Amino acid sequence: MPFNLSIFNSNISIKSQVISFMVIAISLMTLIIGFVTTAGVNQQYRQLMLDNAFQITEGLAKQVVFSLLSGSEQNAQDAMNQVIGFQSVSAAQLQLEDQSIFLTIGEFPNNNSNTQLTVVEQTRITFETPQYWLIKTPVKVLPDTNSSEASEFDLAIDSQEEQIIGYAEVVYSKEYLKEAQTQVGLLISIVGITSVVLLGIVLRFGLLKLLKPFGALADTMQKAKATGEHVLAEAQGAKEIKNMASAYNSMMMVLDQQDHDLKQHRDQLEKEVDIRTAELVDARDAALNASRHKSEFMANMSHELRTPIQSIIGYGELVTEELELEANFDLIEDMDKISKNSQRLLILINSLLDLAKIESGKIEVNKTDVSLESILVNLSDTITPLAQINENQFAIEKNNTVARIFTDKEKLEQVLLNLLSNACKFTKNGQITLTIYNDNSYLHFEIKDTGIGLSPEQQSYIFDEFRQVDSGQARKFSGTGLGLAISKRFVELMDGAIKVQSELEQGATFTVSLPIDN
Amino acid sequence: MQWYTNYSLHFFLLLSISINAYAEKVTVVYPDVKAPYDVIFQQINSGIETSLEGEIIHLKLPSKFDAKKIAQSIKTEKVIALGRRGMRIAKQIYKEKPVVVGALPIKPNGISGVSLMANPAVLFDSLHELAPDVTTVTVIYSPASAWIIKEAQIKAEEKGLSLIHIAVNDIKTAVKAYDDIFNGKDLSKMAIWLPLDPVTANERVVVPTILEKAWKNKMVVFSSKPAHAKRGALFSALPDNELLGQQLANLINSVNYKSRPSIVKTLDSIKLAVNLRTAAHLGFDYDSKERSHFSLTFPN
Repeated sequence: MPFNLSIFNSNISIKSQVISFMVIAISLMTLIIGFVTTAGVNQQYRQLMLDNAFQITEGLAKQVVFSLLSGSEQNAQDAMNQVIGFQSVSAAQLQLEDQSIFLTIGEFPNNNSNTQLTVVEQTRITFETPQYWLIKTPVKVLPDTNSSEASEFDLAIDSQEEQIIGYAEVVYSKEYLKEAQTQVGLLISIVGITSVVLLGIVLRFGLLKLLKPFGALADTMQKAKATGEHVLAEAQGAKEIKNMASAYNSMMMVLDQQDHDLKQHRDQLEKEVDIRTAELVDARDAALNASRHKSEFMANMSHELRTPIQSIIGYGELVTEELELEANFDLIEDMDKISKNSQRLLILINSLLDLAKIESGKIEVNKTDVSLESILVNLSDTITPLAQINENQFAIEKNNTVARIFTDKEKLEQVLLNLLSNACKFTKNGQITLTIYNDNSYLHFEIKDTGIGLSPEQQSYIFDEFRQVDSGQARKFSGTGLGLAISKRFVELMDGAIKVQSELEQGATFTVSLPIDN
Repeated sequence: MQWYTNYSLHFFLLLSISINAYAEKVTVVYPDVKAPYDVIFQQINSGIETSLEGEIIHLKLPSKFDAKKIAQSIKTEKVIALGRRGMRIAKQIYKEKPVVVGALPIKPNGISGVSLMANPAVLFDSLHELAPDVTTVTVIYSPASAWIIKEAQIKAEEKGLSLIHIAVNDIKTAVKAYDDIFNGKDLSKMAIWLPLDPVTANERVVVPTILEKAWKNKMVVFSSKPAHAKRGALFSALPDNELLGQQLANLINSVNYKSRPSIVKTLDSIKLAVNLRTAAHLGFDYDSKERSHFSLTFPN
């Protein structure tokens, strides 16, 4: 069971807790001592009063022997008056041997008729109420007794016996006992309370002095916490507090040293970072220059390559026409191969040229108001034959609410053609669907196929330049590996976005989103 | 001065008897007690020795002893027994040989001896000397003291005193009798005599009250018990131990154990203890000559 007292609350200062604890402990101790002392003193006082009452009663019994023997009330009057003169004696009574009343003085209580008949051999309390004691003692005629030496001269000493000739009763009031007990209780209470108060004051001053260094240390720590400074504490006060202050100061000095080391380390790191940054900036600039030079070179080279290729294609077509006229069909077939490969080379060069232009920032976007229907007609004409090569079904779903878009028509068509031709290329006996829909801001072109699909890893790099899914497939599926990279650059140039969702063997979905009005 | 004359006469009488005594062996048995009581027995022994010519064997009795065995060990023909312990020995042998008992307030009861009870004549003489106005003496007595009353009555008449003697059987009656005395009218010429009586002169109840009431009523109280003078009686009788010894020595020579009744004598020779404060209270003033006859005075 946890011992939980409110004075041991962590929100209260140790000084208040110690003072509270000590005051409570001293109060308890004083209370117990006071209680025990009061009880003891009261008991002793009661016994003293009772002894006194016994003595008074026995004294009366001794004084009235002659009176009882003589039967003269007058003889007993003086002794009775003397007894009644005692402060606490309210009444007294003498009884004869047969317990008949001989003489009564004062207001003798009459509610104890039974006790009146009590035979006593020695002094004792025969009746007690909260207000008084009734004490009864026998009145005896004692034999003459001498010392053993003096008794040598007495003859009849052995024959004399003690004889009870009556009884003396005294009503002894407890009023003064109660008064005295109350006074004792009051005195002890006052002394106890005064002691507690004085001890509390002494404790307070003592503990204030004792714990002042402790408070100063706590304040220093608090200040250190609030400001973050490594403030040193003054080592003063009791041994333990000095030790704490010393330990705290040591800790602060260690922190100071660590801070200093950290600053030095930070400064050194900053210098190193500056150096590395400068190196990186240089490297970046060099790389940018190199890239720009490369792009410029590629643009120039592509342009230079395209011119002879176009010449080759043009002259090839002329040769083919000549051969067709001569009906030399064997050579026509060879020429077709030359022409076909030249076309492929031209496409490759154009792609490289596009990419180079993009990278060198020379390509421009020519946005016009474009009819979607016209784009879809062109796409359908181009893609339907491509889809049939691999026995795919091509369908267009038009869910759009807008009919026109302000964009670069050529680039949009190039992007959509590229995506659809890829879908035709990687799908066999499947379904290729172009779905068009829009929201308030964007027009979305979704190209969905049921082809081989893409793994998550493949999805992460398919938009990079010169990257195809793998070299094996590159051989299986012809292509430059630049199509998706160029498509992505074009879409981004048109302020749009392109994304892919796919799983292996589950087909792929490419979505091109373009702003409707720009 | 009558008491002084009597004293001298008795002295010479005892002396003559002792000279004529037979020179027989006598054993004196007495208690072995501590000071100051041992002096009493030494004085009694001294008195015996001065009156007996024969050999005297002293036998001290411890506090516990076998009376029968000691009695059997006594080989002398005559025995003087002193004190209560001596009385125990006397009871064993008084029918076989002459025995006298002393230093006890004995009464005639088969054993001869000298009682500590002072001779009333001597007491009355002293009363006459110390309180001449007293004409009536009242004595209340129990059966223990009855034997002396008749003699007292005779002696009182001889001395011109009126003796009122009241017999009681218990202390209650005694107290009532005393109370009646104090309730009487003319107490100025009356004296109370306290005999050696355990009932009528009870030390705890009677004596203090009698003395107190007598003081209040300016009555003369005299006592046969030595200590009462100190407590407030005008005078009390002190036994003259040496003369008691002589009286015992003389008596042993006259005792015939085969004859009855026994001889019990009162104390003929006494000294006086006088309470001068009580005397002054009663209006008595004694000159130095008179005071010189007092053996003890109180307050001292």
